[in-house]
Amino acid sequence: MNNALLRVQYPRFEHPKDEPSVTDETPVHEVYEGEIVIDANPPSYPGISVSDFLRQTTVYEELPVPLAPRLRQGAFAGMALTLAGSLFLALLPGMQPLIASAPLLLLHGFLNAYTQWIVSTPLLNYINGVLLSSSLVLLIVTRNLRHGRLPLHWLACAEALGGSANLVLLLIPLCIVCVNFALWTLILMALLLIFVLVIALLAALL
Amino acid sequence: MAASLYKNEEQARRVVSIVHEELHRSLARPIRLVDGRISIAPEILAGTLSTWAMQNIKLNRRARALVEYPCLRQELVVETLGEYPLFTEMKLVQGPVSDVVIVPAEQDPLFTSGQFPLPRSVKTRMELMEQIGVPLDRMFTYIAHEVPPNTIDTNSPLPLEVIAPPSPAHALRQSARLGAIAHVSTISALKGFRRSLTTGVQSVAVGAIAAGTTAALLLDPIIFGALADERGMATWIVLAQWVW
Repeated sequence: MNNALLRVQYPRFEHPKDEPSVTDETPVHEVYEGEIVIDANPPSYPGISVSDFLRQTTVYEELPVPLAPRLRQGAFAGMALTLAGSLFLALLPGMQPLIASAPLLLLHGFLNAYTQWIVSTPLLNYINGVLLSSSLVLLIVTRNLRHGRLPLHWLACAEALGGSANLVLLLIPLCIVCVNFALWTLILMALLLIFVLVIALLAALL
Repeated sequence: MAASLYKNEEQARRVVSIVHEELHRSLARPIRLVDGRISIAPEILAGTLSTWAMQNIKLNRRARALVEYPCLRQELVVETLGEYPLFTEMKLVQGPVSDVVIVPAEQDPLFTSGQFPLPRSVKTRMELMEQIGVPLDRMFTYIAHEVPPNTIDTNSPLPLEVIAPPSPAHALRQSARLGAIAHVSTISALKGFRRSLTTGVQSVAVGAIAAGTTAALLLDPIIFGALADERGMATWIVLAQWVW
């Protein structure tokens, strides 16, 4: 393009092809110091194309969201209960003879059968193993149960439910032991009372 | 496919018209003094040669043929704004209700964070455009965000906090529901069912209310495609708009 305002002529300028393209980066760039410059050359626009933009987007509905505080609490509690349940399952074979010979007044037969069933059911160990390993993954991926995609929220809920199942598993023998302990305490107190009454009676007679 | 382009017709029209006015205004600044040099925009030169208008018409025809008509055949509504120059820096337009920021996509902090979120319906719509042969690979991407007044400083980069979308309301509601279940099954099993059931229901209600409040404050992003020619002029087309 010729320009009358310039002392020298612009260099011959080849127009780019007619086809538009955002990747077309062949501008002719000339600098004339101290002169009036008429920007005849097409500017270079380093923008990105819509298709490139589209490829670098994520689906809004799948964005990670913070875990609800109650979900977080529940998942933590569930993990702790699963850990306790796993420890119980691991220690139970060693404790079984002790339980069998324990002086339980109520439901002793049921407790023995129950512990026997737990020891002979490896599925419980597998389930707890899966729960513990998935909770470890969950803690890492969600950065201590802070932020995660929706499937991870479901997993956190599953951890809580697994923990509650472990709680039930633990509560049954614990309740039987507690009831028996309370019964023994009552009996001992009654015996102590009778003993005290007998002593008092003997003291009164003598 | 949805027959209408805009989710919120009134709000979207307002934002588009603000952007449109700003793009038009850029035509009115053809001569500038840049670093001690008079810079005359190419349209002035081209106008003297009487080719500018012809090229604009050609550009417009090409944009309609390549973008608008194929989209209309698939019932995808797009809006062609007209021929305006491309730009490389953020533009801030102060509107009567809110400010509008127009920014090349690569300067959008949501994009540079690598997690520019598109609603699934919008992504599907744009992928469909690509499938039917709309030359998206030749179109420059610009994004307009409606922002609260006086929250943007033109001398500093666009802050992410201002344009960051809220967390998906559906996911938050779902998380609150799961939280109620998890809480009832663990914490309340230890504390007592009755008390926790009440608080569980309350938490779901609070979550839903919070999501609703956020939704009421949401502002529009609009995606523009600019089909340019060698002069740096482009036909600007509204490709997608949504409400968070």
